[in-house]
Amino acid sequence: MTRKSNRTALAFRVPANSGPKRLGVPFTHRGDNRRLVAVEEVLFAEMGDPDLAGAFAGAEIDRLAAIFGLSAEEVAELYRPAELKPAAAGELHRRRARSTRAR
Amino acid sequence: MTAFIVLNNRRGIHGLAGASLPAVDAWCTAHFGRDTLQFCQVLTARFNAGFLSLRTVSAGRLFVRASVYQAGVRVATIALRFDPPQRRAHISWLVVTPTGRGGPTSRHLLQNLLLIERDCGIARMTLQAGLTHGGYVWAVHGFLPSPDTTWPAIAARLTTKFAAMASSFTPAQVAAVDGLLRSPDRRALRAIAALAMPFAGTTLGKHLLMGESWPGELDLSDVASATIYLRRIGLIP
Repeated sequence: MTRKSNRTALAFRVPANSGPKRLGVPFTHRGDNRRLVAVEEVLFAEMGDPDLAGAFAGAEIDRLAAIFGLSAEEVAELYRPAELKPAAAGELHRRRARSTRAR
Repeated sequence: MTAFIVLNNRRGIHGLAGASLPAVDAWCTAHFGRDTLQFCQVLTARFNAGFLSLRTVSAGRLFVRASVYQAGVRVATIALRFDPPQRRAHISWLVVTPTGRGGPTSRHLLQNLLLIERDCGIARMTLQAGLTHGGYVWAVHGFLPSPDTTWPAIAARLTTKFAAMASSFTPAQVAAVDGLLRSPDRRALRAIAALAMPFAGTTLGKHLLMGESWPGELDLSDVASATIYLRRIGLIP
Protein backbone atom coordinates (compact mmCIF):
# COMPACT_ATOMS: atom_id res chain seq x y z
CA MET A 1 0.00 0.00 0.00
CA THR A 2 1.42 3.32 -0.97
CA ARG A 3 1.24 6.15 1.46
CA LYS A 4 0.17 9.52 0.18
CA SER A 5 2.63 12.30 0.72
CA ASN A 6 1.53 14.63 3.51
CA ARG A 7 3.76 17.54 2.76
CA THR A 8 2.24 20.89 3.54
CA ALA A 9 5.21 22.99 2.50
CA LEU A 10 6.64 23.29 -0.97
CA ALA A 11 10.29 24.12 -1.31
CA PHE A 12 11.18 26.85 -3.74
CA ARG A 13 14.68 27.94 -4.54
CA VAL A 14 14.59 31.11 -6.60
CA PRO A 15 16.73 34.24 -6.62
CA ALA A 16 15.32 37.04 -4.50
CA ASN A 17 14.68 39.34 -7.43
CA SER A 18 13.12 36.80 -9.74
CA GLY A 19 9.60 37.44 -10.96
CA PRO A 20 6.75 35.93 -9.02
CA LYS A 21 5.65 34.08 -12.16
CA ARG A 22 8.35 31.55 -11.37
CA LEU A 23 6.17 30.30 -8.56
CA GLY A 24 3.52 29.40 -11.06
CA VAL A 25 1.03 31.98 -9.84
CA PRO A 26 -0.06 34.74 -12.18
CA PHE A 27 0.56 38.15 -10.65
CA THR A 28 0.20 40.58 -13.46
CA HIS A 29 -1.17 43.93 -12.47
CA ARG A 30 -0.39 46.25 -15.32
CA GLY A 31 -1.63 43.89 -18.00
CA ASP A 32 -5.17 43.45 -16.73
CA ASN A 33 -6.09 46.78 -15.17
CA ARG A 34 -9.35 46.80 -17.05
CA ARG A 35 -10.59 43.86 -15.04
CA LEU A 36 -9.79 45.47 -11.69
CA VAL A 37 -12.16 47.75 -9.82
CA ALA A 38 -11.07 50.12 -7.06
CA VAL A 39 -12.40 49.00 -3.70
CA GLU A 40 -13.97 52.43 -3.25
CA GLU A 41 -16.33 51.61 -6.08
CA VAL A 42 -17.17 48.24 -4.56
CA LEU A 43 -17.83 49.74 -1.14
CA PHE A 44 -19.90 52.46 -2.72
CA ALA A 45 -22.01 49.90 -4.55
CA GLU A 46 -22.55 48.08 -1.27
CA MET A 47 -23.75 51.33 0.30
CA GLY A 48 -26.52 51.42 -2.28
CA ASP A 49 -28.13 48.70 -0.22
CA PRO A 50 -31.21 50.18 1.52
CA ASP A 51 -29.94 48.90 4.88
CA LEU A 52 -26.79 50.95 4.49
CA ALA A 53 -28.35 54.01 2.88
CA GLY A 54 -27.85 56.27 5.90
CA ALA A 55 -24.31 57.59 5.96
CA PHE A 56 -24.03 57.38 9.76
CA ALA A 57 -25.98 55.94 12.66
CA GLY A 58 -28.34 58.27 14.54
CA ALA A 59 -25.99 58.44 17.51
CA GLU A 60 -23.18 59.71 15.30
CA ILE A 61 -25.46 62.36 13.81
CA ASP A 62 -26.38 63.49 17.32
CA ARG A 63 -22.70 63.62 18.24
CA LEU A 64 -21.88 65.73 15.18
CA ALA A 65 -24.81 68.01 15.97
CA ALA A 66 -23.42 68.54 19.47
CA ILE A 67 -19.91 69.25 18.12
CA PHE A 68 -21.12 71.80 15.60
CA GLY A 69 -23.91 73.27 17.72
CA LEU A 70 -26.72 72.34 15.38
CA SER A 71 -30.24 72.83 16.70
CA ALA A 72 -32.88 70.08 16.53
CA GLU A 73 -34.50 71.95 13.62
CA GLU A 74 -31.20 72.09 11.73
CA VAL A 75 -30.60 68.38 12.33
CA ALA A 76 -34.07 67.66 10.97
CA GLU A 77 -33.42 69.89 7.94
CA LEU A 78 -30.00 68.43 7.12
CA TYR A 79 -30.05 64.82 8.23
CA ARG A 80 -33.60 63.58 8.52
CA PRO A 81 -35.45 64.70 5.43
CA ALA A 82 -38.18 62.70 3.72
CA GLU A 83 -36.88 59.32 2.59
CA LEU A 84 -35.19 59.21 -0.79
CA LYS A 85 -37.57 57.11 -2.82
CA PRO A 86 -38.44 56.95 -6.51
CA ALA A 87 -41.82 58.62 -7.05
CA ALA A 88 -43.31 55.57 -8.78
CA ALA A 89 -42.48 53.32 -5.83
CA GLY A 90 -44.13 55.75 -3.43
CA GLU A 91 -47.33 55.83 -5.50
CA LEU A 92 -47.52 52.05 -5.66
CA HIS A 93 -47.16 51.81 -1.89
CA ARG A 94 -50.01 54.29 -1.26
CA ARG A 95 -52.36 52.52 -3.67
CA ARG A 96 -51.76 49.24 -1.87
CA ALA A 97 -52.58 50.84 1.46
CA ARG A 98 -55.91 52.21 0.18
CA SER A 99 -56.98 48.89 -1.31
CA THR A 100 -56.31 47.13 1.99
CA ARG A 101 -58.50 49.57 3.89
CA ALA A 102 -61.36 49.20 1.36
CA ARG A 103 -61.65 45.51 2.20
CA MET B 1 14.93 42.03 -2.11
CA THR B 2 11.46 40.56 -1.82
CA ALA B 3 10.01 37.47 -0.17
CA PHE B 4 7.31 35.57 -2.01
CA ILE B 5 4.69 33.46 -0.29
CA VAL B 6 2.05 31.32 -1.95
CA LEU B 7 -0.74 29.84 0.14
CA ASN B 8 -3.36 27.29 -0.71
CA ASN B 9 -5.57 27.62 2.35
CA ARG B 10 -7.94 24.86 1.28
CA ARG B 11 -5.25 22.21 0.97
CA GLY B 12 -3.00 23.65 3.63
CA ILE B 13 -0.10 23.94 1.21
CA HIS B 14 2.29 26.84 1.21
CA GLY B 15 5.53 27.90 -0.36
CA LEU B 16 8.05 30.51 0.66
CA ALA B 17 10.91 31.94 -1.36
CA GLY B 18 13.25 34.88 -1.63
CA ALA B 19 16.58 35.83 -0.13
CA SER B 20 14.93 38.51 2.01
CA LEU B 21 12.68 35.99 3.72
CA PRO B 22 14.81 35.99 6.92
CA ALA B 23 14.46 39.79 7.15
CA VAL B 24 10.70 39.60 6.61
CA ASP B 25 10.47 36.78 9.13
CA ALA B 26 12.39 38.86 11.66
CA TRP B 27 10.02 41.79 11.04
CA CYS B 28 6.94 39.60 11.52
CA THR B 29 8.32 38.06 14.71
CA ALA B 30 9.31 41.43 16.14
CA HIS B 31 6.17 43.39 15.26
CA PHE B 32 3.43 40.82 14.65
CA GLY B 33 4.56 38.27 17.25
CA ARG B 34 4.31 35.38 14.79
CA ASP B 35 6.22 34.27 11.69
CA THR B 36 5.79 35.24 8.05
CA LEU B 37 3.58 32.29 7.24
CA GLN B 38 1.16 33.13 10.04
CA PHE B 39 1.15 36.78 8.95
CA CYS B 40 0.14 35.71 5.45
CA GLN B 41 -2.45 33.25 6.74
CA VAL B 42 -4.16 35.98 8.76
CA LEU B 43 -4.18 38.38 5.81
CA THR B 44 -5.68 35.73 3.51
CA ALA B 45 -8.06 34.11 6.03
CA ARG B 46 -11.40 33.07 4.51
CA PHE B 47 -9.90 33.12 1.02
CA ASN B 48 -9.01 29.91 -0.79
CA ALA B 49 -5.54 31.05 -1.74
CA GLY B 50 -3.15 33.95 -1.66
CA PHE B 51 0.00 35.15 -3.30
CA LEU B 52 2.00 37.68 -1.35
CA SER B 53 5.20 39.57 -1.86
CA LEU B 54 6.70 41.21 1.20
CA ARG B 55 9.67 43.50 1.56
CA THR B 56 11.17 45.20 4.56
CA VAL B 57 12.06 48.81 3.96
CA SER B 58 13.90 51.31 6.07
CA ALA B 59 13.00 52.19 9.66
CA GLY B 60 11.15 48.99 10.48
CA ARG B 61 8.53 49.23 7.76
CA LEU B 62 7.10 46.33 5.79
CA PHE B 63 5.68 46.66 2.31
CA VAL B 64 3.06 44.04 1.40
CA ARG B 65 1.41 43.25 -1.89
CA ALA B 66 -1.16 40.49 -1.78
CA SER B 67 -3.54 38.86 -4.22
CA VAL B 68 -6.31 36.69 -2.87
CA TYR B 69 -8.14 33.96 -4.75
CA GLN B 70 -11.48 32.20 -4.46
CA ALA B 71 -12.08 29.01 -6.41
CA GLY B 72 -8.92 29.58 -8.40
CA VAL B 73 -9.90 33.06 -9.50
CA ARG B 74 -8.20 36.19 -8.22
CA VAL B 75 -10.76 38.35 -6.46
CA ALA B 76 -8.67 41.19 -5.03
CA THR B 77 -5.22 42.70 -4.79
CA ILE B 78 -4.01 44.98 -2.02
CA ALA B 79 -0.81 46.94 -1.53
CA LEU B 80 0.02 48.53 1.78
CA ARG B 81 2.81 49.55 4.08
CA PHE B 82 3.03 48.74 7.77
CA ASP B 83 4.98 51.11 9.95
CA PRO B 84 4.80 49.86 13.56
CA PRO B 85 7.36 52.38 14.93
CA GLN B 86 4.95 55.13 13.83
CA ARG B 87 1.94 52.91 14.71
CA ARG B 88 0.69 53.53 11.19
CA ALA B 89 -0.43 51.52 8.15
CA HIS B 90 -0.80 53.12 4.74
CA ILE B 91 -3.11 51.56 2.15
CA SER B 92 -1.61 52.32 -1.26
CA TRP B 93 -4.28 50.62 -3.29
CA LEU B 94 -6.94 47.97 -3.05
CA VAL B 95 -8.66 46.62 -6.12
CA VAL B 96 -11.32 43.98 -6.57
CA THR B 97 -12.00 42.00 -9.71
CA PRO B 98 -15.57 41.88 -11.02
CA THR B 99 -15.76 38.32 -9.67
CA GLY B 100 -15.20 39.64 -6.17
CA ARG B 101 -17.86 42.34 -6.36
CA GLY B 102 -21.19 42.01 -4.65
CA GLY B 103 -19.74 39.56 -2.14
CA PRO B 104 -17.88 39.91 1.11
CA THR B 105 -14.43 40.18 -0.53
CA SER B 106 -13.62 43.77 0.35
CA ARG B 107 -15.00 43.50 3.87
CA HIS B 108 -13.17 40.27 4.58
CA LEU B 109 -9.91 41.79 3.39
CA LEU B 110 -10.42 44.89 5.53
CA GLN B 111 -11.33 42.71 8.51
CA ASN B 112 -8.20 40.56 8.04
CA LEU B 113 -6.15 43.70 7.73
CA LEU B 114 -7.56 45.00 10.99
CA LEU B 115 -6.49 41.82 12.80
CA ILE B 116 -2.92 42.32 11.64
CA GLU B 117 -3.01 45.99 12.55
CA ARG B 118 -4.25 45.14 16.02
CA ASP B 119 -1.42 42.66 16.59
CA CYS B 120 1.18 45.04 15.16
CA GLY B 121 0.01 47.85 17.43
CA ILE B 122 -1.15 49.97 14.50
CA ALA B 123 -3.35 52.83 15.69
CA ARG B 124 -3.66 54.85 12.51
CA MET B 125 -4.52 53.97 8.93
CA THR B 126 -3.79 56.42 6.16
CA LEU B 127 -4.68 56.59 2.49
CA GLN B 128 -5.36 59.02 -0.30
CA ALA B 129 -9.12 59.26 -0.70
CA GLY B 130 -9.74 59.81 -4.37
CA LEU B 131 -10.88 58.28 -7.62
CA THR B 132 -14.57 58.61 -8.46
CA HIS B 133 -16.04 57.46 -5.18
CA GLY B 134 -13.19 57.57 -2.66
CA GLY B 135 -13.79 61.13 -1.47
CA TYR B 136 -17.20 60.07 -0.15
CA VAL B 137 -16.62 56.40 0.61
CA TRP B 138 -13.68 56.89 2.99
CA ALA B 139 -15.45 59.75 4.77
CA VAL B 140 -18.36 57.48 5.65
CA HIS B 141 -15.87 54.81 6.71
CA GLY B 142 -14.65 57.15 9.43
CA PHE B 143 -11.56 58.63 7.74
CA LEU B 144 -10.81 62.31 8.28
CA PRO B 145 -8.51 64.71 6.43
CA SER B 146 -4.93 64.50 7.63
CA PRO B 147 -3.14 66.59 8.64
CA ASP B 148 -5.81 68.92 10.05
CA THR B 149 -4.43 71.76 7.96
CA THR B 150 -5.71 70.13 4.76
CA TRP B 151 -9.35 70.64 5.79
CA PRO B 152 -9.62 74.39 4.95
CA ALA B 153 -8.59 73.74 1.35
CA ILE B 154 -11.10 70.89 1.03
CA ALA B 155 -13.79 73.07 2.61
CA ALA B 156 -13.01 75.87 0.15
CA ARG B 157 -13.54 73.51 -2.80
CA LEU B 158 -16.78 72.19 -1.29
CA THR B 159 -17.98 75.75 -0.64
CA THR B 160 -17.51 76.60 -4.31
CA LYS B 161 -19.38 73.45 -5.34
CA PHE B 162 -22.20 74.12 -2.91
CA ALA B 163 -22.58 77.75 -3.97
CA ALA B 164 -23.55 76.57 -7.45
CA MET B 165 -26.41 74.46 -6.10
CA ALA B 166 -27.50 76.49 -3.08
CA SER B 167 -30.63 77.72 -4.85
CA SER B 168 -32.06 74.19 -4.57
CA PHE B 169 -32.19 74.40 -0.79
CA THR B 170 -34.01 76.42 1.83
CA PRO B 171 -32.24 79.44 3.39
CA ALA B 172 -32.03 77.55 6.70
CA GLN B 173 -30.34 74.58 5.03
CA VAL B 174 -27.92 76.82 3.13
CA ALA B 175 -26.99 78.67 6.32
CA ALA B 176 -26.39 75.42 8.22
CA VAL B 177 -24.26 73.88 5.46
CA ASP B 178 -22.25 77.11 5.10
CA GLY B 179 -21.70 77.05 8.85
CA LEU B 180 -20.29 73.52 8.64
CA LEU B 181 -18.02 74.46 5.74
CA ARG B 182 -16.69 77.46 7.67
CA SER B 183 -15.81 75.35 10.70
CA PRO B 184 -12.07 74.84 11.25
CA ASP B 185 -12.82 71.41 12.76
CA ARG B 186 -11.94 68.66 10.25
CA ARG B 187 -14.82 66.55 11.58
CA ALA B 188 -17.03 68.87 9.57
CA LEU B 189 -16.13 66.63 6.61
CA ARG B 190 -18.07 63.86 8.34
CA ALA B 191 -21.00 66.21 8.96
CA ILE B 192 -20.93 67.13 5.26
CA ALA B 193 -20.80 63.48 4.15
CA ALA B 194 -23.86 62.77 6.27
CA LEU B 195 -26.00 65.51 4.66
CA ALA B 196 -29.16 63.69 3.64
CA MET B 197 -31.02 66.31 1.61
CA PRO B 198 -31.96 64.84 -1.78
CA PHE B 199 -30.02 66.32 -4.68
CA ALA B 200 -29.47 65.08 -8.24
CA GLY B 201 -30.82 61.63 -7.46
CA THR B 202 -28.63 61.15 -4.43
CA THR B 203 -27.89 62.96 -1.18
CA LEU B 204 -26.16 66.31 -0.98
CA GLY B 205 -23.34 64.75 1.06
CA LYS B 206 -22.58 62.14 -1.59
CA HIS B 207 -22.91 64.66 -4.38
CA LEU B 208 -20.48 67.12 -2.79
CA LEU B 209 -17.80 64.56 -1.95
CA MET B 210 -17.90 62.38 -5.05
CA GLY B 211 -14.83 63.05 -7.16
CA GLU B 212 -13.03 64.84 -4.32
CA SER B 213 -9.51 63.88 -3.35
CA TRP B 214 -8.00 64.31 0.09
CA PRO B 215 -5.33 62.70 2.25
CA GLY B 216 -7.15 60.72 4.91
CA GLU B 217 -6.47 58.99 8.19
CA LEU B 218 -8.47 56.74 10.46
CA ASP B 219 -7.47 57.03 14.10
CA LEU B 220 -8.39 53.68 15.62
CA SER B 221 -7.87 55.09 19.11
CA ASP B 222 -10.69 57.57 18.49
CA VAL B 223 -13.86 55.79 19.59
CA ALA B 224 -16.18 57.62 17.19
CA SER B 225 -13.97 56.96 14.12
CA ALA B 226 -13.29 53.35 15.10
CA THR B 227 -17.01 52.67 15.68
CA ILE B 228 -17.93 54.04 12.27
CA TYR B 229 -15.21 51.95 10.62
CA LEU B 230 -16.04 48.72 12.47
CA ARG B 231 -19.70 49.11 11.59
CA ARG B 232 -18.92 49.74 7.93
CA ILE B 233 -16.65 46.72 7.55
CA GLY B 234 -19.24 44.54 9.20
CA LEU B 235 -17.61 43.81 12.55
CA ILE B 236 -20.35 45.41 14.63
CA PRO B 237 -24.04 45.79 13.78
